[in-house]
Amino acid sequence: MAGRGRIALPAALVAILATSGPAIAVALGVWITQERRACPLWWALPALLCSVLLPDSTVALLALFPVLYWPALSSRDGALFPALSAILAVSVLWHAGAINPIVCMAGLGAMTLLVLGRCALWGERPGDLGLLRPAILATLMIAAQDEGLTTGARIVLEALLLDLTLLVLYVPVLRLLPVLAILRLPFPPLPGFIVLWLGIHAALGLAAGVQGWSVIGVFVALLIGLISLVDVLTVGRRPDSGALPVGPAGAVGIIALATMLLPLIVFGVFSPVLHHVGGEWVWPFWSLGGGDGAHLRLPAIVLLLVAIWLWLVKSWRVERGLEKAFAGLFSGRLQTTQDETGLFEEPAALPWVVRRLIVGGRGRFRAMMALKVGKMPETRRMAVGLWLVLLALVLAILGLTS
Amino acid sequence: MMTAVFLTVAQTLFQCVLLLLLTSLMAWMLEELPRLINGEAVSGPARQVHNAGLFWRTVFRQPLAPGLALVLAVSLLSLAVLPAVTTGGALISLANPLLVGILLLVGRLMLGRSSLRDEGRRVLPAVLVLCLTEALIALAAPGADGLGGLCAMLHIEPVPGLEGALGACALALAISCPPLRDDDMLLRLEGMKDRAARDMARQVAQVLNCAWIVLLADLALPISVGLRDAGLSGWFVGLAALLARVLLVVMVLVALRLTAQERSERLTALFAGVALLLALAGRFAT
Repeated sequence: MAGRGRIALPAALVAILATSGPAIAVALGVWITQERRACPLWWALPALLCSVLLPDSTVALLALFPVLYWPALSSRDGALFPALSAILAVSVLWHAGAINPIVCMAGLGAMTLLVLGRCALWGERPGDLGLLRPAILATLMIAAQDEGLTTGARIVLEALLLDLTLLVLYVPVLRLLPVLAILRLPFPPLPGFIVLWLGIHAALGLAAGVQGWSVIGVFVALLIGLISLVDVLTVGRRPDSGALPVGPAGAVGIIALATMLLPLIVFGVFSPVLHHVGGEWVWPFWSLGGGDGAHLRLPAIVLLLVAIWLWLVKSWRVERGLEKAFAGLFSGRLQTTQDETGLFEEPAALPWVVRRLIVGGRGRFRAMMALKVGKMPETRRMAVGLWLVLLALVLAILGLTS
Repeated sequence: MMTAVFLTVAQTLFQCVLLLLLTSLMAWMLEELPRLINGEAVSGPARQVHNAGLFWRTVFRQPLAPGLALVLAVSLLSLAVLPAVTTGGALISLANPLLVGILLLVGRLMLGRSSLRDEGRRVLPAVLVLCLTEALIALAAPGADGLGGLCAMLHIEPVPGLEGALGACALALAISCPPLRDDDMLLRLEGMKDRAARDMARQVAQVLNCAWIVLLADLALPISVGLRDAGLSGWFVGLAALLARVLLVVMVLVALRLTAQERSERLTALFAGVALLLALAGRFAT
């Protein structure tokens, strides 16, 4: 019952939020009071006030994002309603008036990198960064709509809806069927890969079509890839995940079924929305278009893979061979997802080179403060680093002039 | 109509068989070439060919362990899908670099009992470079459908920036994720007691390596893949080009190993950045 409520509540919220702007404000207020660890008031109050007073300002909107994502990204055991922050962020973006997509995207990217950098340096496990992806995709969609690229907007919307569905389903799924959490991973037949692929192609479709987006589009694509990679490290590691109610064979069967059916159902249910934004009726299943001529034919790949695998396993040789083969497919892998937690919960140690740099830098800084003549650091080790810095400079110049 | 379909299917089958024949040769080169260059005496590839023959006989007759079968299925699928001689294969429309690349990397993770900590540090940068590759293809050659579409497009209208960028991407992939070698396999097969199972896993690793090398070769030199309607002479040129570019990639991998440049994160980042720069420069030059 609780699981059904957790799906029904966000669904009802989406329906209301998509239609009315003031509802978002009420929802935000209620949500902030209910959340486990809310954003500190000295930031939340001015941000909320600014976003109400200046609805058209991009900076005010950006100030709202830390408020939205604070519970999910800061606390160790995750937010109470992780999907809600993503839904609220998307609806805020949807209702925002005239925002500057490039500034918004830069803010989101800076936020992602800030959170990641903090986690890497302080040795903490990153929170669920996947929640940021819907906001990034929504920004892409607004940019595509601003430029009049209806096909591109439809592609982003497909990725956005699929991603939101996965996020909303994630928490109840962890309670009921923890195996299904791997649907979010960016490995090919899984829906998480569809989100990644569509996101990359939508960002680059924008880059190819619009003048100022060349460099930014590539970086957005890399950002989406980075967030997918962080998903690999964090998905399925929520403390309150239950035990597996079905056997290993059943688990593999359920994953396969969900992989094939979820995109089908999501695109089918939301096809009116896709039609509203993209201008044509589509139900992409057999061949997902990337908007730029590329097509992803996942079902064909899955069918071929299954055919070759069945031939190699020769399941017809033994009685109930298919079931046994399913059970042996991930033997010791689906169960060990819990054990692997230990690997990534350890504080990520910095490599010795970087530590030496930091300590050396600290010493040099102290020497400079005392106005002593510092020794030059050993510069030979920095050859590659120097080239990287020069490369970044050239890229920045290219990006600014394009 | 029927003839055309038959020809494409025949070509896909031929490509699979040819690349599988090349697998044991590639394994020999990866293993023995560094020693040969060092001046040691090495034996010919007869042992590897013999082992591969035994392996395929077992595969045809006996069922495989399901996990190993999945890795082998992924490698075989990649060999069938990737453009090899010409773009006229039956499954060419499935050859998406991101899709095939991540499939192969997942196969790499699933082979044996890999330590996620070590392997993750190689695979995660490689996934990012694959994302970059897909992004650069979409940026510099919009309208290209996968690797096959890219080859066809490059034949009609060369994009020098993109070709250089793809070469740099392939180099970054080769640096961050070199093919699995004997010492890697020793670590992975630690807990496995059964000798036959260990040998099977080694052979599957060789097929996986072969698929990875072909992917790198296709990414590095997409222009050398022949076109669908190139005729008989074009087909033979494509065959020679396939052998040449696979040999080139193997030589580069061996050189990277000899100079101890592989598995360096900073070099991976540098070449990924070079790729981005080349693609953007090519885009702004036109």
